[in-house]
Amino acid sequence: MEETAGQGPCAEAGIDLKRIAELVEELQETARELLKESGGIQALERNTRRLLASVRMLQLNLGLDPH
Amino acid sequence: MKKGGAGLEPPVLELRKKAGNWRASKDLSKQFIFLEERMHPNAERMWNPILETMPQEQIRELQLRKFRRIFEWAYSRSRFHRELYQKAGLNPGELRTLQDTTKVPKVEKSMMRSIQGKEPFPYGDMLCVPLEEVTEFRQTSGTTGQPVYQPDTWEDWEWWSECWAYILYAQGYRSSDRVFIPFGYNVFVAFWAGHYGAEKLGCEVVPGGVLNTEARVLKMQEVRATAIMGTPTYILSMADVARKKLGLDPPKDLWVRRITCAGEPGASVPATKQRIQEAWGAKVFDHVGATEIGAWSYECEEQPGGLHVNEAMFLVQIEDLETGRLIEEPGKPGRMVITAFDRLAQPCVRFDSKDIIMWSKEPCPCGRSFRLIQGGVLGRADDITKVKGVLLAPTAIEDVVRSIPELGDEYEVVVSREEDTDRISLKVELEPWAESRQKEVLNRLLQELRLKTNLGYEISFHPYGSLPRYEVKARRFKDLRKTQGGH
Repeated sequence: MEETAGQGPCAEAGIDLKRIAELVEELQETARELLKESGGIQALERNTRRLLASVRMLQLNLGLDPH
Repeated sequence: MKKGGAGLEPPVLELRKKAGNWRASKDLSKQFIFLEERMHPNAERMWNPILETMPQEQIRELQLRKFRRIFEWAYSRSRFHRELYQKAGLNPGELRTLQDTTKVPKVEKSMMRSIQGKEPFPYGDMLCVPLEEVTEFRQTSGTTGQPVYQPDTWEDWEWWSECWAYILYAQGYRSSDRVFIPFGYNVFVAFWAGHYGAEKLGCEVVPGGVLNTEARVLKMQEVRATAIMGTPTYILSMADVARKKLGLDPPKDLWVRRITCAGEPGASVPATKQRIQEAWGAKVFDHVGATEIGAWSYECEEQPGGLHVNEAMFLVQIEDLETGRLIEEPGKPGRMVITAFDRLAQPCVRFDSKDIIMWSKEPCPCGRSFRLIQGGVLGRADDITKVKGVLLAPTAIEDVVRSIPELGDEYEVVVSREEDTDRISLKVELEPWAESRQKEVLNRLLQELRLKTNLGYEISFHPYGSLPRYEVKARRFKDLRKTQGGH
């Protein structure tokens, strides 16, 4: 993340990319945990998978390697 | 660039702050009123057993809480709703029981028509969000008059597909299904939400948009589609085209095993359902929804002769046709007044749908606690009419026509008045192979119609294929008395 959070236009605008990346990672962890806890209830499981797809878009847009 | 907003007046701003951005309360003990320790044995056949098996008493609590929330939302954000409620002397906070909700004035389609075209253009002041938040435009089919515009936010659209996920999962759709949608997607909401609901379940969705009927059938065969959605009329007509123009026998030559119908009451009319099932060799399910409401009901795999109301997302109230009294007892038909709890851009609060429905006597063996409406939508208040002093539902005529195998799928009913006497005529088509049986069919038809509708008809037979065919909503019932000025 260091390379993305350098001295570019984001830093000048006061956007903390490192913090954003951490929050996105937390979101991902929470969603993965939710998926584990969903107990096969489709309304939870399928919506969580969509949430994870959105998290992946956030990661792609931050220049991170989604995993 | 879209311009305009909800046009709020200063005193409402406080309420708007209170209504907030529709975020859930952080106090989960108040929000989450139901948590079963054990799942229902049929839970795996439900999209969301948490809500679908919730005890009725707790559903009522949930409904009251959600009704108050959407009422406050509409009051604080839309001038149209606020003026309507102020005229009735109602303010947020005054609705303490579900019975109180019947004091909330109903909204009719004509009221929606009269405000659209005004600012914020084109929706008028029913809009509850800034125009910039509207992402979807749809409109009603215009069957009953000038089409009504329906704006939705992205979140509303998620809600639409969520409601469809309940429907499709209950009807046995799974991620292994390949769903073909033989419908010309356009400004109507029809099957857009079905498309995204199926996608949400993990199904593979094949859009059959601009193809003609033959091309659609061939594409379904080519990709081995396992499920389709359409109006009952069009689904029947597709099977006819497959057989007569392409020489295919759908049950043997195609892979369709499940069909979801919408747009017309046909899939809840027993004889029509049976015709579709036999034509396709597939299980046929009904679903009822509407552009201005949402996808509010569904038939489940048990097929108990009725449809579940999604009571976690909608409040369905049935009113007596003459007195307007709320009907809670089963078996008594009345007019549906419906509220969608979670649709935000253009809320649907106590909408007079003019659908005639009745509660079912029996609970469904599937285990869902959501109540059933018996026989689906029985008709439209506009269509159910007195002929020669007898109350007539056009679906009863359809059930008779389609129970006679010698008759084609199409028919037309015309009611007129001559010298103060009602006349009812029925046009039907004989199947080409049954032309020699016209007299026999006529007698049977007259007898069955008298038995089911208590009326005598003037019946005429027309060449097969000559009556109008419909792809969207069929209009087979014509009451000329309304234009003759004598009714």
